[in-house]
Amino acid sequence: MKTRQKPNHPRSEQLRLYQATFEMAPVAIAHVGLDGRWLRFNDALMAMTGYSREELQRRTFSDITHPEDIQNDWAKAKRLLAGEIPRYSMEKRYLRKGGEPVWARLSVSLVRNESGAPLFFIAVIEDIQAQKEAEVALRRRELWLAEQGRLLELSYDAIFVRDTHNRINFWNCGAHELYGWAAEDALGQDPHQLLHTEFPQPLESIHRQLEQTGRWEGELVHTRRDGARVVVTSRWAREVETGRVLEINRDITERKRATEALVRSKEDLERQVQDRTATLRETVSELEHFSYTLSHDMRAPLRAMQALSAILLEEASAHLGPEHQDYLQRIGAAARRMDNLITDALQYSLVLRGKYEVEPVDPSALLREMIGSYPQFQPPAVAIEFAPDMPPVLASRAGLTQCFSNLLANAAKFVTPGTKPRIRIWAEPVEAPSRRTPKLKSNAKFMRIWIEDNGIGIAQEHQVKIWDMFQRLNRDYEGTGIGLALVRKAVERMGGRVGVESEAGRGSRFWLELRQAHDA
Amino acid sequence: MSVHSPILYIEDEENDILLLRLALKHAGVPNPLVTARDGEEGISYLAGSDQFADRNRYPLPCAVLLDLNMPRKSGFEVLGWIRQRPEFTTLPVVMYSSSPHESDRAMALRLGADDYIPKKSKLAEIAEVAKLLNRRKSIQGKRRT
Repeated sequence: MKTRQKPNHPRSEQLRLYQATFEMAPVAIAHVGLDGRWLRFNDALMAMTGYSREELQRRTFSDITHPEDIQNDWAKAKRLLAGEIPRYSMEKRYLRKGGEPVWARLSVSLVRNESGAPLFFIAVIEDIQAQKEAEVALRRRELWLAEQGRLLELSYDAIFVRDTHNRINFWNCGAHELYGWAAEDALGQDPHQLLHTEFPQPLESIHRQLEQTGRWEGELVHTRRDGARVVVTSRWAREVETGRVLEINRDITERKRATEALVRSKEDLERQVQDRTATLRETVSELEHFSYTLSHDMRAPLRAMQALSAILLEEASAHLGPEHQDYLQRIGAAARRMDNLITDALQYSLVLRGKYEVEPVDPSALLREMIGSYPQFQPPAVAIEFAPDMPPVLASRAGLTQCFSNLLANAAKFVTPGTKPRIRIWAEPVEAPSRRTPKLKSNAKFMRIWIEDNGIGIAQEHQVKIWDMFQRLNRDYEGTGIGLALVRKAVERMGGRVGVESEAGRGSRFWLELRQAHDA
Repeated sequence: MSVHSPILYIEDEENDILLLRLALKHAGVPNPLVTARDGEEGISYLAGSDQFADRNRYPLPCAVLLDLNMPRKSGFEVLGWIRQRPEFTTLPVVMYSSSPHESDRAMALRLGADDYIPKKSKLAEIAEVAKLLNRRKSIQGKRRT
């Protein structure tokens, strides 16, 4: 070596410098024996591998190399020994003392003696673990971005990005599919021109909002490549750093069309309902007029028949045989029955369509008033006994009067001949709400008013039928078959219900349930 | 010519007129019954127009019994007309109708009817109507004569 010719002092100084360079180098430097043993090495190698000096001295480099990298390293070392290459470098993994791998960049050269025989390797080992990790992270991120990109492409939505000059620089498959323009057609174009965008508000105000909030959302109309118009909900987001705008558009043409069709059909339907309601109203009013006129005009001749047959009976019976007197009686009775039928039918139709406004009604007071003004409900004809202090119920006065008068008349009528009708009326609260009136508050409390008689009673199998129109069970008693139908309809219109408990020959207990007035 | 002023019955139903005539006799009401066969004729009679111009033959009634449903002019229209005429503001008018509608009764009373009586089909009951008319007209009669 040239330095050997130099004076002692400078030479030892130089040695010291070399030594220091070796020791203080920021990378690991080592002399490695031809057998792979660590001959000399600096602290950086110990720091990198985690082994102490003694531990390293007992090991070869392959002892602390990742098994997958040993062969490659040796192969290169052999070529170096063979003089095929002057040096080599590679990235390889060492194994730290704890077993965890650490990436390193290894550069190796060979020192030979004067005759060219190999003496030892010089290895420079740089810890690149952090760099490797960063690379992995970067790769991962790239993969992630690529995946995002693929997913964007997968999206049904049309997604594109325009730059500050309003030129398209991203255009996904969804956009291709929706608008018919491929990415190569669209890139670089102004999307508003390409798609003939129709805005729901002035573009300036959209841009103002985009500036202020970074977002805009609204409905746009676009024209596709084939000329068809599509309606989209459009969402814009502006990237602050670059000023680029991401636009995501969803095709709602079909939905829009369906909604419009729905609105149209709803309007049609409403118009139809209005038309039909008007027609119905007309029909109803015609029917009302008809029944009104009918009742008036039909009853006039009946009146004459009743009155004149009665006069004839009274004034001319001396000239008539008993048979003919019977005929006259029959004429009068038939006319009276028909008159009753018409009157009841008319009452029923009034209950059906009349106004039924409910108010608190005191049933006891109502009964007192009714009985007072109808002699047929007074002794000696009947004995009526009623609780004097029944609690008020929600009813229409006219409706409840009709119910009572029908039920009382029935109770007075349907007795075995010779029996004096006895009627008892009382009320009791009912906890269970009526199932048949679901529109009422479910917690409404009901009063059940009982009307008990000592009449002929009703057999079990007839107890449902009696409430139907024109159901007359007993031909021995005069009647129209409308009374109970009317009672039921009236009570239902007042939000209540009716019922009966009876047994043939043992009297009947009719009841009507109405809401308690205090409860409302 | 009777000394009593007549009762005017405005009614299109012939049988009802016959029955009332019988009832008046039955009840012993002395006033003669004059009739008009629809609302328009009733108004003509009261106004003394057309064929009723001769007050000797068609004297003013002391009471009016008025049917509701009639051709040409209804009982309500006749009642309205009567109550608008100053000379008839106190003329007793009883509405006599087969309508059971409470609204018809209310309407009649609102228009100024003195009473609203549903039509009866028993002679005795009709006689009651006749007696009621007789009572009403007698008060009126005193005032008028």
